[in-house]
Amino acid sequence: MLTKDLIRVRAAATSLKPMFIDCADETLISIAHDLLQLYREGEGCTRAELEEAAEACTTVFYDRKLADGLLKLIQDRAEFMPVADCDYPQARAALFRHSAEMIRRKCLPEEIEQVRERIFAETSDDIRPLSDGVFCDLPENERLRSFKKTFDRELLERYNVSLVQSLLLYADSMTLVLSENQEPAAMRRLFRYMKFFRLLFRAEHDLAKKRITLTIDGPGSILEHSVKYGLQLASFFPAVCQLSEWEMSCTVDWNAKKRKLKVDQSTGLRSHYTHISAYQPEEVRMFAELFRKKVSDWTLDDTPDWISAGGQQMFFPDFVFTSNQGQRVPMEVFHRWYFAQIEQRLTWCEANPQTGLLLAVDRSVLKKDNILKDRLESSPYFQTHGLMFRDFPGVENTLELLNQQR
Amino acid sequence: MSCRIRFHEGTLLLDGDDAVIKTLGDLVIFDQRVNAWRAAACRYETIMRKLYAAKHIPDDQARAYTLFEHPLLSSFQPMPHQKAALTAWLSSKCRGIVAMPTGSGKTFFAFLAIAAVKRSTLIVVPTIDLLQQWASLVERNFGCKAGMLGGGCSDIQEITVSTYDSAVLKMPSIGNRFGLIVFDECHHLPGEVNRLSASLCLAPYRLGISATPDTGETFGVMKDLIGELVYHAGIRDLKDSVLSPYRTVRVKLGLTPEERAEYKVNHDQYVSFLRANAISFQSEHGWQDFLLACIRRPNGRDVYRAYLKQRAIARCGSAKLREVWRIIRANPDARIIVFTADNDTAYRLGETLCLPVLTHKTKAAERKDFLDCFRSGLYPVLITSKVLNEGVDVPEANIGIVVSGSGCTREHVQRLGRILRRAEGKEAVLYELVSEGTSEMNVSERRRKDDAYTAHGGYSC
Repeated sequence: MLTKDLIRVRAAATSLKPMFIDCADETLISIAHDLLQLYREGEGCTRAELEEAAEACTTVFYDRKLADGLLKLIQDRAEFMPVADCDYPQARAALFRHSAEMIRRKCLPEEIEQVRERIFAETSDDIRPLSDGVFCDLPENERLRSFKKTFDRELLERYNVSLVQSLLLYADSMTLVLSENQEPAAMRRLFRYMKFFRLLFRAEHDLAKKRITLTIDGPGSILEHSVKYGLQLASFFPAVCQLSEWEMSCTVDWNAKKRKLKVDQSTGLRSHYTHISAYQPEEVRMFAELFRKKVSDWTLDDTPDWISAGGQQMFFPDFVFTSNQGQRVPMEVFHRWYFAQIEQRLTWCEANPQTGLLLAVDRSVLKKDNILKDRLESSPYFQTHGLMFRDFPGVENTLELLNQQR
Repeated sequence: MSCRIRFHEGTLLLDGDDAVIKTLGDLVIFDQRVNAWRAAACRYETIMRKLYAAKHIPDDQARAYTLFEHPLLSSFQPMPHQKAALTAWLSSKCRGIVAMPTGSGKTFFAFLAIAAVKRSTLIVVPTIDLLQQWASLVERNFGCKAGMLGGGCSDIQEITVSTYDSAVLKMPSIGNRFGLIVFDECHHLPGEVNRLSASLCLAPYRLGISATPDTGETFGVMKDLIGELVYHAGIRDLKDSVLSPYRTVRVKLGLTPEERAEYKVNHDQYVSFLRANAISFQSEHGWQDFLLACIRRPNGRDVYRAYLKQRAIARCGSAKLREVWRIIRANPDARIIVFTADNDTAYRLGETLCLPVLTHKTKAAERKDFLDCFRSGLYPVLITSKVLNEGVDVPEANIGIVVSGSGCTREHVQRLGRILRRAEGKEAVLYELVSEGTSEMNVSERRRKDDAYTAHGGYSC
């Protein structure tokens, strides 16, 4: 993401307009190419050398701030290795012990220009590497180990998304207006990301206008307006760009003033979250794999549609199982960090048993929560549609519960 | 059961009897997203007091902190000012801020508070050096392993030490595990992000310690999240009894003719730019206006370079380097900390004199080695930019040399505090080197406004 000084934005009295760039612009593609090339071919160069070479490109560019922004995104993809051809800390320790001793013995010259020379004249071989510089292993001297490659145009696209992300760092919530004709897979992805970034939402389904409005923020947002969930909102935003029709608005605390930021699909922002399963936890993937391997009379879909729960509620099962006879059974998994939703979902399921939603609950949630434990144990719905697990539901338990639903 | 309280992501969730919950008034708000009432975690103590006072005994599933019953192993006897501070803090329901100068035993006072409260404790500190220092002192004083969060560690124990950054990051999941939270150098707390370390935590007992507490407009934040200022002792109150006697010496130094000429060219360019753009640093946004003008005006970047150049000359003229070396040579048996405003000056000094330099760039193992060697006397001099300004315990230091710094009084008082820890026969001296005829003279005047300088009457030479 971009630091505040690198965000190019037009600030009006009450609104903000990010200064998006044209990703097909030849001049921009060219500067992106030059900067990327430095890092693509820069393996082994020091951080300072790369920065100096990059500065030669950015200072002559007509918009320095834009060029610096691109450079920042490139630097975020670079990994440097420490200077390692000598044990500098050990050599320094020997040097400093030696200089300390000379200070105590009062045998150093009065003239400051001669101090270093005198100290090195009396040192042993293990200190000699420092004669070029006592602190030559500082970060600016670290060498480029690897660079996550990207295409020139992709960098420009990422820059545009970063402009919005970087502003979201100063927002307390976001409002998303979506057409209800979204692809189910895109919606599922969106809510997976939301869950992953521990964000909460309120939904309003406007049947007349065929649109859904989601107000997204963090657990503590209703207590005070603060930017504490800004990073989560910013990290979540690329998932929004994957939708087909959307409008995102938020209030940004910009230069001590609240200003409105509004962007929609017409900006052409392209998400770099290209992998559908980017945030699919390992255990989910393993469960799906194991289930498919072990069970033949049920098929598993880990990309199910969302369920409208009426009014302001909607939720997203983690899996849908389909039997050989075509019976579909959804299941939602509640880990310990998601416990606040369990009771609400159970109440809804009891009122809407026809949905047949299976509830898998992390056992550790109940360790201290006797009320929730009692609630689950005494619920006839949970007795027939619920299971407990540690870490992640087991295939056998899930299959047993599924077979009870036939 | 009147209601149930749970901890959720740095907040409290309440459900059960709505009528009872509504008696809590503004402390709670209904959260339709999860169909329950929500409150800030830091209101836990107030909520519990209210519910118990009304005899609505809640089912408290939020609290996950434990009793901590390790006695304090240290044979130190609390000094009178520490006893007075403890009494004041205990009588304000174990909440509040205690202000004592550096070297007067703030850490030991915090241990007295932990031992009195007997609850699992989180100690929040501003730097990694302080994290390591507090952790080893916890282990030495209580004989138990200290947990650490930050600097690559993520280990929770009954007493855990964390940096502010890590505390903010982890608080949504650990904010219910500590009964007492101690904020070291608590003047860092009011920052937009840092304050979350207090608001997302439910610890009913809270202690803020600082040598320089903020009493300005940000004090309201500290008061709300920690409590009132319950005890305050300044350097002058404890000088000679608890702290070392000290003197401050301002040394005015000239620039060489070459430096003066270069300074003038760059300073004039920078000042004319300020005038031409009607920028005043007296105004609240003066600095921002300057940066903005540097970005927008065609010659802005050159002016910014000129600004940096003239500042660098004033901060580190060759006369300053010579004076540092003169003081070191004149005091071969002293333990000297050299403070600079920036890393470049620190490394320039270290490179010229072959002396250890401690900055935020110094890696953890070497950092520890530098501090250990300085404490043991193996290294008589340690050069640092800002990382030793606060908290780090170097009791043996008896001379401080401020080569350059900001105009901030707090920074200057904190630097003075580094050399004030009492030792037999010790007299501390703080040298402040100032480039005469440069803007540093004004900076120096601004930072010397504290009582520790004005009343004491340091002298110039």
